Amino acid sequence: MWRVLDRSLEMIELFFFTISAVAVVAMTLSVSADVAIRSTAGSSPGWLSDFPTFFNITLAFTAMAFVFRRRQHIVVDVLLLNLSPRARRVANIVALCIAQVYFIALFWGGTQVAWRSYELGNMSFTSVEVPMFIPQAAVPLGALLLVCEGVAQLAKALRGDA
Amino acid sequence: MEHVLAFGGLILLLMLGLPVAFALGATAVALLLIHTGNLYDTTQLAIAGFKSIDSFVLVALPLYVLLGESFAAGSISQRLYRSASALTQHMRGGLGIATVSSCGVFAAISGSSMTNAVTLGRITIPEMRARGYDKGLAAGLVASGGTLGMLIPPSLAFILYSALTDTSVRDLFAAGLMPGLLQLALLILFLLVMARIPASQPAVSWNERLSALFTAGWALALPIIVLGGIYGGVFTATEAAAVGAIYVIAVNFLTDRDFDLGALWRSVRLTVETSTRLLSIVIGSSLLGHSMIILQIPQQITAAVVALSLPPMLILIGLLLVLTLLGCFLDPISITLISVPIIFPVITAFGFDPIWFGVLLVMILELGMITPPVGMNLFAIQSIMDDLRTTEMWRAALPFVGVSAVAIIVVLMFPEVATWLPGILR
Amino acid sequence: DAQAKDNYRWKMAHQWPTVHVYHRAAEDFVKRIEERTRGRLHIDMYPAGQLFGMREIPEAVVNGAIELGMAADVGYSGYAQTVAALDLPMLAPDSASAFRLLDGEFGKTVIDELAAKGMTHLAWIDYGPMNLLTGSRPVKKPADLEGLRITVPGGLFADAISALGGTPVTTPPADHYLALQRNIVDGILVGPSSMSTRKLHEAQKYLTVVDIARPVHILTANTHALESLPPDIKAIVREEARSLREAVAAQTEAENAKAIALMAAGGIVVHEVPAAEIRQWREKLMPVHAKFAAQLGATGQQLLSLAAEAQ
Ligand code: NA
Ligand code: NA
Repeated sequence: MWRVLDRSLEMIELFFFTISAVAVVAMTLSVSADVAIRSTAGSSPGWLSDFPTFFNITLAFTAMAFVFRRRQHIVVDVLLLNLSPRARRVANIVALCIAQVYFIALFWGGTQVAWRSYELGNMSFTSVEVPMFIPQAAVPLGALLLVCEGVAQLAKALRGDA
Repeated sequence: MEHVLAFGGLILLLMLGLPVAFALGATAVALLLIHTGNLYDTTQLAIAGFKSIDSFVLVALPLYVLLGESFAAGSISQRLYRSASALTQHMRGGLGIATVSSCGVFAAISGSSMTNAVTLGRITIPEMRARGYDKGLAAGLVASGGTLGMLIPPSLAFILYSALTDTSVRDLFAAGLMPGLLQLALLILFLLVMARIPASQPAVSWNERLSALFTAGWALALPIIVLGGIYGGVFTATEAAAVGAIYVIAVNFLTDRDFDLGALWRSVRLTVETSTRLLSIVIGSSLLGHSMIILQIPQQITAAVVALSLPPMLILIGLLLVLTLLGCFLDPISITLISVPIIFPVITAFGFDPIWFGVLLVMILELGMITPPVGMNLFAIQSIMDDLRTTEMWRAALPFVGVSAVAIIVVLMFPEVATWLPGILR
Repeated sequence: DAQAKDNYRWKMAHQWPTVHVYHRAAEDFVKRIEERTRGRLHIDMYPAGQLFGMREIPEAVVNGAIELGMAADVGYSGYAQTVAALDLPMLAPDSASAFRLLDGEFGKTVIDELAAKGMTHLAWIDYGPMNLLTGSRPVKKPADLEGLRITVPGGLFADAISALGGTPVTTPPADHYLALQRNIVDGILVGPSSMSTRKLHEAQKYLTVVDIARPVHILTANTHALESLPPDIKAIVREEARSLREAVAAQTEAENAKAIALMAAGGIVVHEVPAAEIRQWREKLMPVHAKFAAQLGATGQQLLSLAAEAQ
């Protein structure tokens, strides 16, 4: 049961990681297209330079959890290297609990902000107007994935199979 | 009390092995919640976190990372490497000098120091290591060379300083050039005199050099396209990253038969990994900056120094030390936004040259990019080197912190280094 | 503890640098509120986009992250469509008539829409007219804009540049200076005081004074926070907001003239479009009004007729 849950979480994280990879491709293409169209036709559609920022936001927030699972985030190992395996495990558990404070706050705050934007019909400043709650939803979404991933890592650490 | 919590809490979380990005964010949340006691206040962190990425300038980061990754994935990099070897192997430290100099050239393209380090690091560090350079030396060299991005014009840091202080961008750009070149010279001097670098090898014939240069033609055209496009008014530095990435990918497909769609997809995935590592730290760092501003921590520390009854020069040195301390923990934009409004009136009241102070500030911000525990360029290098531990990175950065400090002291003692060029251009 | 309950601590954010006279006006606003309420309302000020920039200030006010915010009207347009009416080109011939519009039914329409989104309008803050700064050639009549790429803040300003025959582009503010310096764009539409504080004139050659539009900055309060103040403090906040508006308005014209003089001294060639020629610019710009009205439907039409009545 636990295995299935963990595996599903990984698939969901991988899905958003893949979305982020697509976002990188889209960013590259739209910025280059912007340059190409501008230098041939004189002006280019504004969304070509507006959307890359949204893609970057998607990338920044939603790929974090998968990178966290793969332990690819940058960590300061100065103290860890001098700890016994047991002490290191305790440090890891404490760290995961503290990280939850950040994840939950980001999730809660992000939900408030995106929800209010939805409620009040807040639109983006871009030339093609987009409801702001769509890009803003990347914040609570990314944070929710981090909450789940944090819990999964905590469970593994407590069971001792991390 | 909150001061201790802010700096001490962050160090503690980092030591526990919490990823840097989350340690910064958790400290920001804890500070704010302890200060206001209201969970609802975390909404402003969500707004600030979104804002930290909601900028077209930051789009340059993943684009330059993609450029670096696709460069490293194709044979274009090996050909550049062979050509660099043929040209420099008879000179002691030749490759290192070429690397630092390319940091100087890239600084004239990009206004940011982290993109500078991450892009050039991906291209040059593997080459240096293959040629027997120590891993730490190669890492430290690029981390430090990358900081030139802020000092050598164009520089986003100078544009921000100008807007906050009503000083001339033209003067600031001109003033940054000589100190930038000074720092470049100091880096080369350090490399030749103090660093352990591999011995020189016999020179290859001019014929061989020319043919190596010819095979690297595709790679050598890249800076020409990028610089030409930017200075010719075809595209901005951010757009140059996308054009450069497309160029490198196209060259890979045309000239390297091993580079297929699978290789491209791998480059894109690596780009997501590297960018996410760095962007998540950018988010965490702006959140910590946000909380510190709300709690008025940097404002109070700076005000305390200003209030000391000391001669102006000592106050200035005190302020520079405070900025250096802030540089250990916060990102350049936060530091500038927090400190300049408080410090600038004091500086002008004492009669110091605002352009000179701008240069000193940017040099300190640069120093902050390579000082632990939070040094964005150190993270940039770590994000592209899998076998480099934090401990090693910090140790490697130490001598370069010294080099930057020497450059700062020179500009502090001889303001002419900064003020001479804008003076004659005026 | 009864006293602590009666004390309020607010946050106020704005986007002006601290060297700007508007920041000093805002500081006076904060100081006088504190004096007149004998410290019962204390306001921490976060200038120069320290806390939030133009785009986030309205959002922070709506979400209660700050109690007071002051930002360019464009910043509010995501929440309130009618705000765009303030950016309509050549809506009013001068600052006085523009403010008469804002104080009447026209301004009230915008204020009501802001209120519906949880923001209480406290004051219109004069920004001064938007003008053209170009590098490749002087712009003396609309035809000179043909083929020039002009950076605009977006929205109706883009429509205005298109209507005049130029090509509008939106460049992020951080890129403005470099884009102008390297001729990636040929000019910018912005207020003279912004040109001069952001040193954009260092990268350009010609200034055209034609007063294309008169956008304003808006001081707003989070409605919930304002309503939870005791009536006497609330009244003081409103009165001081009024004084802030007047203090800024009294300086805007002089600041604008000072900025133009400063740029002229720095080598910028200034062309003031003669009053007789304004008409041909205005005619070119009128389709923007029609387009705006079409987008906003009945409300847009009503705003336009209110503006026409005032002339
Ligand atoms: Na630079
Ligand atoms: Na640092």
